[in-house]
Amino acid sequence: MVECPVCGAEIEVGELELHQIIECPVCGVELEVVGLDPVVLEEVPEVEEDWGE
Amino acid sequence: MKIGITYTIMRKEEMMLRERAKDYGEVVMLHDSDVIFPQSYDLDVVIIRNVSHFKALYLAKLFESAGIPTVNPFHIILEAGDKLLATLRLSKKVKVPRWGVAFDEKSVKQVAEMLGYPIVSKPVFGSWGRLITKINDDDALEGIIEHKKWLSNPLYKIYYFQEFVKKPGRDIRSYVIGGEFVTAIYRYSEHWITNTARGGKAVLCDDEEVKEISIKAWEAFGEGALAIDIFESEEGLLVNEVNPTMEFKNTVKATGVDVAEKIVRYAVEVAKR
Repeated sequence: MVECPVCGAEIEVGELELHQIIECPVCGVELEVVGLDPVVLEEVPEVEEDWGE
Repeated sequence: MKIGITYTIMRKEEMMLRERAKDYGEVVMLHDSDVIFPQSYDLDVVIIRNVSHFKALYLAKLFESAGIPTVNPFHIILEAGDKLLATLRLSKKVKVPRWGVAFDEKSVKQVAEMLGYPIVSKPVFGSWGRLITKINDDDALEGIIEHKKWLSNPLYKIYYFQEFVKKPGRDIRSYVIGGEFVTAIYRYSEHWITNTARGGKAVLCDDEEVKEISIKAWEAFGEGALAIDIFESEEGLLVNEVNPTMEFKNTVKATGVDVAEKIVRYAVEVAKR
């Protein structure tokens, strides 16, 4: 289990990868896996002016 | 074969590309934090997937100048990723919405009069419908220009406009990779901005005319993997823009076409040239 950095909910996570994007099932925020051992989650970086296709 | 994939965030698309690339050789995932130059990289090709347009642009040039080809190449990201530059290329090959550009507040009104309201203001480097504005009259135009004055990025002072094109509640997104038409979808939306990033629904589009105009639009660039946005206007199909770092997860769902496989296969071909 890993704690959501935004709402503090305990999130059950399966196999994860570095920089993978997951969603907190409680508050719905998008989180990025920034550490694996131990698992560290951060809010996905803010959309920048030049982000897109 | 060693395939690099640069990226900013690991979306479904990047995961799909990585899985497909494994079928062709060793895959090296390169997050923004993993890449510095000058440094040597033992790679045969790099698929550029940075969601940041300018990071994608510089990384393509850096790898190319290190002798490693990229998909897309620098000049395609540069010209396809800029709405004005793309319009210049496209307009030589296919029908595009009437457009105009001004470089000073004083001449913006001339462009508006040339096109006739309503017009649409678009940042030349924007995406996902960001800052796209429909302008119905002089008052609104004045307001938009005033707001742009206070936006720091100088690219907002390239005042690019298109005519407002009445659409049938949808537009079309097609994919041409290495000159091959891959697939196309209709993107339905109540809002006049129709991209699926804003919740537009995706449905397979199987239309010979769409295929033809998509290939012609790709030929305007002559290289790379491009996603092409097309309007069904009252005067027929118009190519609105092209995108060099294509999103495709909704398209794979709607069409069943393995777009990631097509991109990777094209990248392997480029590597072998």
